[in-house]
Amino acid sequence: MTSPPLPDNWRSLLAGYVLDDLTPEEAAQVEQWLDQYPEVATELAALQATWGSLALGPTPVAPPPDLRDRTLAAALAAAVPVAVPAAAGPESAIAGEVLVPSQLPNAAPTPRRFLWAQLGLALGWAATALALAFALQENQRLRLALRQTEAVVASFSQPANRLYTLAGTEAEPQANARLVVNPADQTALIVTTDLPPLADDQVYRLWALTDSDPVYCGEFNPAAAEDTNEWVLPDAVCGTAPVQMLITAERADDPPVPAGDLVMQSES
Amino acid sequence: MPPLPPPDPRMSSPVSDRDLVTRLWAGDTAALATLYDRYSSMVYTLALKMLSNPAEAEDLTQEVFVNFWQRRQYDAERGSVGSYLATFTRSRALDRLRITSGRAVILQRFQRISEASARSPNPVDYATQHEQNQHLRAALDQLPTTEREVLEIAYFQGLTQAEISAQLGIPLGTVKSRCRQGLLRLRTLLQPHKD
Repeated sequence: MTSPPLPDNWRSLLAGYVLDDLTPEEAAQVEQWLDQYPEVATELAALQATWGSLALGPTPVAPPPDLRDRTLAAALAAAVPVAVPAAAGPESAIAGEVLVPSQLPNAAPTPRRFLWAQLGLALGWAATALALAFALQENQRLRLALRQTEAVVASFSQPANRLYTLAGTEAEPQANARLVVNPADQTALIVTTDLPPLADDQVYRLWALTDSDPVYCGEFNPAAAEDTNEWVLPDAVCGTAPVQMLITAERADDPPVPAGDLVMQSES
Repeated sequence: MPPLPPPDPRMSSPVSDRDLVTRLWAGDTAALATLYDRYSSMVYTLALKMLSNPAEAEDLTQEVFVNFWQRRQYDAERGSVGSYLATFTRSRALDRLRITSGRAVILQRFQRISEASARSPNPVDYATQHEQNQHLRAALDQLPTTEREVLEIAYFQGLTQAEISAQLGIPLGTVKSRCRQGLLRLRTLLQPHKD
């Protein structure tokens, strides 16, 4: 090493660097040392870690128990709207198509091309009508998705609600769901992802696993791989103490006793 | 000595923070619940200490975990989850304390420093978090009161040394030397634990 020796106060200057009390010249000097002396970089990292560890100084205070559910609900609610802008893409594209033919009347076709222009105009309006119809249908679908999303967000924002995350079992390993149970309204709302729709004579049934037998908490059948369903809870137990939630696939006309495949279960 | 926190049942079958983050990024929201169980006390305690308001601390705790998932800025290669969450919590708490624009430069500097700190060889890892809490508090107890006082004001209130000087009515040079000495002393006290 040919670098000149460090001054005696180099550690004090490093502390000042971490505490941000150096002059610009001193800070530049420290940054120069960082390139020249490995021990300076090591010591700086240690001092920065020491500074950061002050976060652990206060005696730990447990957050209120209900903050857990509120935080997880808020996190999930913040994630839910992401799907809507993604779905808005086709709508925007369609809107663009609609505008182009509608501007055709403003064009000034020459008389010689009049018939072709008329035909083009007619085709343009036909395309416009088709595009508008498709756009309306798409808008309706998006509005429905938005309403569902808003319902989920509104539901998540209720502090008393209980939130469950369900994962698929071996029967439906790719499936997952978020379930919100509203004890005040005695309602359940579930957002399922990659849970396949069942035949008309089958349903998914939700069960609350308490200390005794599973309690029937309602049923649903998603219309698509990703769907939202809401219903009134048939039993108050479903909305009370933290319980494990299970979902089975059953025949719709079977009595409310779990007999079909277990397809999803909550994490705890 | 403060009482030991209650034993965590998850310690018996721990999943690493890194695995939890991987699962969370893959859409496993249960992983967020586990991370919350591990770090919410640390985040809430820090938020409460800095904001001195339980409702604000709850709100910030919620914000920290929502952001952790939503923004996905945490990089496991650059440090532990605990370090990241502590740094983020402090940064947002300082924001809430209405740091004035004149101190934006300091905040930027803080962010630069905290990024480097996240790469430090002393991560606040969950497995040793409780032990580190104990060790740090023991080390803080050994600091001279004058040094501990200025360090804690600087850290938890985010005040500049000039502001600390005005608040305590002591010369700026004294604040500077106490801060530096306190930090160096604390680093030495923590040394055996680090190596």
